[in-house]
Amino acid sequence: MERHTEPSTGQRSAATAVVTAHPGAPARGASEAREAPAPVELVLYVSSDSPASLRARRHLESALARFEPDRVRLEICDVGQDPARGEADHVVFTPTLVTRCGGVASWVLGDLGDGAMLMDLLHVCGLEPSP
Amino acid sequence: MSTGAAEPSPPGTTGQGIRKVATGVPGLDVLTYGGLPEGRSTLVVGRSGTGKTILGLQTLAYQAARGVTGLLIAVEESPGDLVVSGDSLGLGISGLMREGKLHISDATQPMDGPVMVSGDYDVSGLIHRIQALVKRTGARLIVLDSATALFSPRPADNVLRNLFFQLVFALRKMELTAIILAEAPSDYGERLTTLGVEDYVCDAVVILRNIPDGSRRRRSIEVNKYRRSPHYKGEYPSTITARGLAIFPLDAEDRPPTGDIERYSSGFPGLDAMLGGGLVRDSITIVRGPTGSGKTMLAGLYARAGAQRGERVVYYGFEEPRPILLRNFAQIGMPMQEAEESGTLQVICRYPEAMSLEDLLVHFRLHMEEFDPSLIVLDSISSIEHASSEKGFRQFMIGVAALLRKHGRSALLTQTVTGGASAEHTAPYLSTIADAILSLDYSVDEYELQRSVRVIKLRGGAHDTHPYSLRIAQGGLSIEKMPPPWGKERREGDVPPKPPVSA
Repeated sequence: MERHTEPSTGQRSAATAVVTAHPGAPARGASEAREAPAPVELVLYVSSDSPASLRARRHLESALARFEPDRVRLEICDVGQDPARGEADHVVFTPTLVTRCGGVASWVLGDLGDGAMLMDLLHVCGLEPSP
Repeated sequence: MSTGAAEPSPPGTTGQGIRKVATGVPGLDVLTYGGLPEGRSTLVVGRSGTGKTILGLQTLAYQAARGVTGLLIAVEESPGDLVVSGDSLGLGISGLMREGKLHISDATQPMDGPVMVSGDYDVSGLIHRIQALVKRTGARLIVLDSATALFSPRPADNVLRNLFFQLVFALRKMELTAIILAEAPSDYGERLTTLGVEDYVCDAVVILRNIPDGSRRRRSIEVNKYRRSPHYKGEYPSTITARGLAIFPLDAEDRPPTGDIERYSSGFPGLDAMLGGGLVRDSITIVRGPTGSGKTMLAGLYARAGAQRGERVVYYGFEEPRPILLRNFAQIGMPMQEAEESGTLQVICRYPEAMSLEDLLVHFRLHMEEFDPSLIVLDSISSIEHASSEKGFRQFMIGVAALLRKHGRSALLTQTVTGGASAEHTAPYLSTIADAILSLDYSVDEYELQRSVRVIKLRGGAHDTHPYSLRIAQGGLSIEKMPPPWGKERREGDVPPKPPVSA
């Protein structure tokens, strides 16, 4: 079940869900948000009928639980529902995680079973696990 | 429904075998007896630069023009580059895209960041994209360019096999006719493709090659496998022209025999008499002989006589520059100028080293279509033989013969032989190609050089088995019956023999 934590922009299709690492975390004040660095953008492309996609989502959400929720913006996109979005992001395999931070993008194919690689990737984006 | 075979299929295949989709690639639909399997996957394999993408684009354009919407999944090159490639071949790719008959989906790897792998994945993303496009466009034909680029980085063998099977199975479920391009590690290696898994799950496999051949390259195509369909086996010469890929089906597409044998004049009354009434129309004649036996003179005057009768004739000279050739004929009082000016004769001289044999074949074919000659002279095929490998020459000659028979033209080919005109040449297939073989020779005595001509073979007709004399003189070339040598029985009409020259 997708957990929407912010209203839809109206441009995203129903296939895309925006979630944060800690959906229940209190929102920060407006002034504080302005000063914070831009969140790391993650898009996990999945297929609803794929076990590897389910595993990837579980691995990713488990990893993100260790980070400040407002530093990460995660979207889950079902390519079966929104193939155009997948095409725009060069997605041919699922699951694929696309990360964007500071104008740099990277693509990770697979169920993200290699936890160390994922942590390294987030670290490169300037994220540090919460104490 | 079979989607428009480009060329007629052999009897017994259309409507009785599996359904096929024509590629429109000249010659390929002959080799496959009508095209690629409809609703199934065909693997097109070849090293880089063998024309795989061109084959895909040609098929998409050909079918789009016949109402079959196509999809091109661009993995190796960007959609923009593919459009430019197709448009430069005159396939009108950008126009077809504007009309909604062709769609290119960008599946290239992202250029603006690294691609890493962490654990298992599947090809569902691409399958979903294809399903959406098929639903939106109604596409029935798909080209994946290429499987090699798609599965890069290359997964482990068992994973790769599963992924490829998943993809092919999904295409089949969507009832798409698929052309999957794949890179080959070598032209003749044991391993068909670099990935090594694709051919097992595809119903047909076509191999394209571009092989070093002496100082040049030779292209060929082979239908390596075709489930549930007959196909021509072995390699066939091919080429890539400004209009795309073209193949020469070597023994395909003979014109149906008319039943009547029509004779036409060789241009020499004596030779016509010797042949029992002239050469046979729509046949191939080889004139063999050593250097100096009169082959070029006979070939040129055969062409000139044909043009004077009002036939359209093309003479290809491969041995001498055009001014020298024309001067030689003018010097014996048989100039070519008038026939050339009237438009019935074309004399084309070129050195066979200057172009590949495949390009020469294409030139012949285009010329046959544009100038539409009824008589064709190649003087000499030995010059072509010396400028190529044995295999290349064999493919070329069989290709020439296929072209001549397909178009139903009469041809005279000269061939230089050494070791006596009666010696069988080292290329026995030439005798098979020829419907008639004339053997020219000469002998020298103390006083003069005597040329002679003999009919070695004439399909479809009786002929004189005795040698005739051949004389080149001012005003042309004369061929006359020779007297039997001393001690042989003379027949009615024989000219009295000259006394033997004492040693």
